[in-house]
Amino acid sequence: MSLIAHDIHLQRHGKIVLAGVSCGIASGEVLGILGANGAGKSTLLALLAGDLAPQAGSVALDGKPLAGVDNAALARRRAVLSQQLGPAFNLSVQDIAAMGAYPFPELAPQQVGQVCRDALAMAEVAHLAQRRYPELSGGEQQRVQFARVLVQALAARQPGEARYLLLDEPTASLDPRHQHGLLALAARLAHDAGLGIAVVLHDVNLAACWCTRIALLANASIVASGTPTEVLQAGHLEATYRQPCTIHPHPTRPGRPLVLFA
Amino acid sequence: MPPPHAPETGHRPLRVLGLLAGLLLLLAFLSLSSGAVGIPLKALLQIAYGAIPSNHDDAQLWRSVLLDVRLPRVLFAMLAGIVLALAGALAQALFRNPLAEPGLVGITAGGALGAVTAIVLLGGGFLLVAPLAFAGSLLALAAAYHLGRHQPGVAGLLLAGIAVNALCASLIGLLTYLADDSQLRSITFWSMGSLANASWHELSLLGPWLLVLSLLALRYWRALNALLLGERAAGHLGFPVKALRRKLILLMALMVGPLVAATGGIGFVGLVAPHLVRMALGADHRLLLPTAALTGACALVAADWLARIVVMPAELPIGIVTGLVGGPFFIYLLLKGRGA
Repeated sequence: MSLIAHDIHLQRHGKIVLAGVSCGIASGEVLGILGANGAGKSTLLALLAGDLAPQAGSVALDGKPLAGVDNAALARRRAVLSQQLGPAFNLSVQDIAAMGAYPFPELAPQQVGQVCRDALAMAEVAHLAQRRYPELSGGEQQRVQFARVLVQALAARQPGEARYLLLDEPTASLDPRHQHGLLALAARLAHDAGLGIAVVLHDVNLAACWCTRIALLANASIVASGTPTEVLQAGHLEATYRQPCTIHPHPTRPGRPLVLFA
Repeated sequence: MPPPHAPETGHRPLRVLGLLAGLLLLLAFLSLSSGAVGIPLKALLQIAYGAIPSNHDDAQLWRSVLLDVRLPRVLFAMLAGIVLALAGALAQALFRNPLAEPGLVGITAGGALGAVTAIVLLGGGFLLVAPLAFAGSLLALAAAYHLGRHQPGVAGLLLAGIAVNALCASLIGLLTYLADDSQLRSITFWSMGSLANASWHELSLLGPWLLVLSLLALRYWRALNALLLGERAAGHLGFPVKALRRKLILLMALMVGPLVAATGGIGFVGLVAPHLVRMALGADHRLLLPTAALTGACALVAADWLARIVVMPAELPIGIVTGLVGGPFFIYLLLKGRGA
């Protein structure tokens, strides 16, 4: 049960964006994708989502090439939270969350309502359910969109079926409490519901706290990939960000590193 | 913990739809009873129930005016309003712009070019103007679609639409320059729109077609909602975005093309009806589509009624009424929205 990109090569506008990148997520794990601006993190996520086709290499969902899976079937297996979403039309929070259930027309309205209520509660936006989306703050809107992809990832799940969740900088406009809340929830869903989650992050320490594995991208290829302790080492990080740093044991989270950029 | 007023999805939408349907019925009766020949409401109901008030001198005249002239016209106004509002709503979701309308992709300008060609070069007449207008709208749309499809998203289509619109406008200008006085008059009246040609014959030709397509449009509410998030997000929700875009554009053209051909240019309803509903009830297309359709129907029945009665016994082109009433109303809404 996995979503795997293998030996991906991709050029866009004459520039090599990814060269020989392999990376995958298995059911039950949270993969953090880290890297400098323009390193190809979002492109890698778009490949895993099936938005882009690689020029060489392959992406496979449970062993089946992604190119052969049609959109509707794919939407039942994986949900994507993109960075840029459309302008805020006058929809209610409830309406937006319910869109996550569109790939599952077999669900009765009551079932959709139940999944939406659960997802809104998990994303800590249940109190906003009746509000209009454009009235919300940027952080609240982001959590509502997160609730929508949670609905898509959790609705009508069959026993033993693996679902994947791809998140592109989901914490960008969240305060520290909600940043940790969102990733803690992601880790819990991976563990309890068997979701496979890939998340693009900028905050190295957030990734260190909550990810089971981390892939570090620089110059169109993977610098290091493995557990947070294996990947978050001074050499790797300096190669990636070109910024000196020191690594310490996390004071409250045993077994997790803490990175200080100088 | 459930929110304090949980079931917003309860009866409110049905109430709104019922209210609009009632208003539409009221406007229809108003329009049916007034005009160059006034028909008392009592006689109107008697005719409706098949009981002709034979004791009255005007009974035959009333019956004929009502059944042969006004009823098809009012029904056609409803249909035109429904089609214009639905096509407007489709365009606005497709282009993710509350000010979009089917004219953006050349449908209206192409129709006008076809009509003007028929009037100036081929001698005019409804039987020539309508088919050429329809052909023109489809051709213009096809041109815009093919020119624009190489760019990602709807941006290319929009730019190509602008180019096609500009080209059509210049060709219309050229033909207008060549036209003689009577042709100029025909062009002017065509471009301002009219329901004066509405008849049972026209209704029987276009009615089933437009109704079926309108019902089809209602079924796209999920896809239209998803498009509000952007084409990429709609794709992530399982919609085949390119095919969807093609289908929606074709649907728009097949709805608006024949209508423009039959009625000429009726502006503003397609733009304002969905916009109005969105401001009042939100953008959920499950409710927006039927509500906007009924709002459009009300607007056109009312506009046609006004067009017939304000300069009795002559009548104004309906496009002038929709613009004159709709424009200031829209400005009022915008100012009110800004204050809130």
